[in-house]
Amino acid sequence: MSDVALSVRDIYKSFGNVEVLKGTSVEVKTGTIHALVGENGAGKSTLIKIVTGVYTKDCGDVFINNEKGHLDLMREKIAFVPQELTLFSQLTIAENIYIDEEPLTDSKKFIDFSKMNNMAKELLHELNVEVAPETILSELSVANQQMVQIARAIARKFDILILDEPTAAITVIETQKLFEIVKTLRSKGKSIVYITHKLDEVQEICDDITILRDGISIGTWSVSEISRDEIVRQMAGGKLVKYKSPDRKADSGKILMEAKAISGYGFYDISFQLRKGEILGMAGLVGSGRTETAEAIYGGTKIICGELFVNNIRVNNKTPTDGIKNGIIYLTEERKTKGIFPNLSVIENIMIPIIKNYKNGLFVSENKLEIESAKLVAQYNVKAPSIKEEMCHLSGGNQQKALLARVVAMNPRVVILDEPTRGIDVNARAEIYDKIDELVSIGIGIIVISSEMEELQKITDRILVFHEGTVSKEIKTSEASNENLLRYAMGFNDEEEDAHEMQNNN
Amino acid sequence: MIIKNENMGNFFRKIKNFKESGILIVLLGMYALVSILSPNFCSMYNFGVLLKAITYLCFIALAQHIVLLLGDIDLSVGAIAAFSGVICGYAMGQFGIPIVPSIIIGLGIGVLCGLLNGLIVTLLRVNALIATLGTQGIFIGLTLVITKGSAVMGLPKGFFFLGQKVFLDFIPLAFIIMIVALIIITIILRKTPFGRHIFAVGSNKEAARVVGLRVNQVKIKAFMMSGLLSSMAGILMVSRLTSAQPSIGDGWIMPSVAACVLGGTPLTGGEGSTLGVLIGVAILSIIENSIVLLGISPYWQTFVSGLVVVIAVAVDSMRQRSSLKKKILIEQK
Repeated sequence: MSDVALSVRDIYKSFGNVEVLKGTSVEVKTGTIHALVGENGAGKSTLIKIVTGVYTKDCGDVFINNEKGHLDLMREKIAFVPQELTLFSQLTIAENIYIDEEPLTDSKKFIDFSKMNNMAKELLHELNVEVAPETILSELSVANQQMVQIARAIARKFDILILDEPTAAITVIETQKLFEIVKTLRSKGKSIVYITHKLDEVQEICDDITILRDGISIGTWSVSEISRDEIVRQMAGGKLVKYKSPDRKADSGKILMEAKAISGYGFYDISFQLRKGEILGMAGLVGSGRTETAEAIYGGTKIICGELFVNNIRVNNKTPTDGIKNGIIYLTEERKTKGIFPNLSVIENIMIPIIKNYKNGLFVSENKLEIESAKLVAQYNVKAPSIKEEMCHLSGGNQQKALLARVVAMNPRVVILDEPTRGIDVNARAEIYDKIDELVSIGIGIIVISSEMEELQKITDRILVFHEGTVSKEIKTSEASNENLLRYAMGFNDEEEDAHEMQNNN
Repeated sequence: MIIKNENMGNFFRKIKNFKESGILIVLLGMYALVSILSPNFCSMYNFGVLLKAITYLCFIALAQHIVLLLGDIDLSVGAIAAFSGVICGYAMGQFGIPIVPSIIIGLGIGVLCGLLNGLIVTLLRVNALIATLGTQGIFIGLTLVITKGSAVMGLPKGFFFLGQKVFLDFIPLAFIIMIVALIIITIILRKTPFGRHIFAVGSNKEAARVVGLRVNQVKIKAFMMSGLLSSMAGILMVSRLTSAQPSIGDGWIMPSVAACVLGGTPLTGGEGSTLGVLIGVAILSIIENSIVLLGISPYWQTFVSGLVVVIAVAVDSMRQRSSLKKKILIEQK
């Protein structure tokens, strides 16, 4: 086996008149973990699609183990975990893992299910996923489904494993498992290409890093030789994006919303207060009840017992419509399936909830709609060829900004943002943080749910940490750290911590 | 001069961006082709025949269009037409109820049928395809029970005016009624909050719920509107045939879907225009009409309609793929 597992040289690729890759080169050494980073639209996905044979390149070369890449070779040598799950929800875990490569009985006609399940069981055990391989996929959590997707990739023979944002949907614990697996694979001489937005992951497990910007590979560094700031600077093209640290006096604000021991599907006994001009964070692992709580607050599901107050008035949100009437607006974590109207215009995507307010007599005044939405589009820096463009043609970051504009147009008192920056590049992220700050400064209360501990520490005032359906700890952001947030999220409580400390002292 | 040129450029760009332009060219091309192949095609008489065909199909296609916009499908449009047409005829023929109240009863039946469809789809959460497959059987069954399978005769002469009056020897009154209905529906869909909500629900039902739209209410109202349009087709057909036949709506489902898809209303909802529907209807009607004029066995008619559906759906899927390409382009920019 050669020193260089994957070599991509001077790739050019255009779609129509648009050049997406303009001479991109990447060299992945055998037995290393190689990070590929860049803003959305930098050309990462296109490059990977060329390497995995989904797109054909215009010119340039791909070499795998010094052999010129062709489709069969790519299929044989490369395993790929795409960003979005490509699993069969009605099949079992084992069937998903071994689809098209099912072990057969001796007659070679039927699938040997017991053998297949045993193989899957072993593999899952290696991945630390303790679920029976006969389980139907749809019964799994998203995080475990992601692990199945990874299992499917590594169940096949491969030399190079490409992971596209594998941790976007999984929690810290699964991420750690994944890292262990990736490291084991590396020690076995496999090469891994790791695409991510999360720089701490790069620093944690990657050996080398290649930065893409506008279709050009800016350069490759050894991870130990490059600082985070430098990575961000190179990604952004010289201009370093800085986040403003919150500078607010939230304690003094009056109470906007209060939950008294509310319970519902997937969460129980949750109490908290949200003050005017405050950002309240909700941390916790996936499945800990954060999103479920938020959904019940805005009326997506029901609060079964307990009381919710807005401005000291008890509210009972049976539907989202009720929640909106009470001024509670929710921005979903699932932009595609619950957020955007893909084939409506940007204008309508922003204005549809309040379109009734723009009537001239019986009819909607398109002029007024256009003027109002153009203002919001400018204010929220939504980049679109035209505000009449269909929403599905915008990038994820711009869609999210437009959705934030929609939330504001709905005249909220309380805004719940669920994973507001998931899958969004550095610059759009900074813009979204700025806008959140603006909302707070005009007296709106904000709840931010996030799986990124750093994001919570950066923008919130207080954090509720969820564990298995309820709040295990409320903590001031100034006292929070990655470590203690994780401890509370995993259910360690203070007494244990104290005991631990005492032991140490003794 | 320069200003004029710019205007011209604008004009052409508008035509290019005009979503229905492709299908409109197909229509014109087809019209030209059939005119050359069959000299009778351009006759005043045939034009009248064509307009009649367009009239009834367009009512049904509009009914279908509204439901398709929601991302649902309505297999009961023909059955609602037959049911409400027969009830209207029955009211006049058997009970001697005057014309106008009978028509209102017929239209009311159409609205009620739509309401039933809407309730089943929303409150019982049954997939629209299955729900309307079932209600189609219910409506047709009731029609047969009432008529015992034979036509209701003895309708008042005044009633025939609606379906038989022809202006200038070629413009049927029914066609004018259809055009008026088309304009009203267009305005409702394009200009009212309710219409825009239909598009939103069809584009993304979950998102619509989250932003506070009353999804079920929108759906039920849309199904009722659809039922109303179906019943108009049925009642006008009864008037044209001078008897209420239970078989009026047989075979209307396929062309209703075909016309919509041809005209750019995808089965996935949230997209499409009434103008597109009208053009789709015209194309289907010309195909049917030319089969007769060109002396091809009428038995081929069903075959050709089926073929057109398949082609239309295939073209629709190609269009969606090209829209995906556009997305990639814009994103990379």
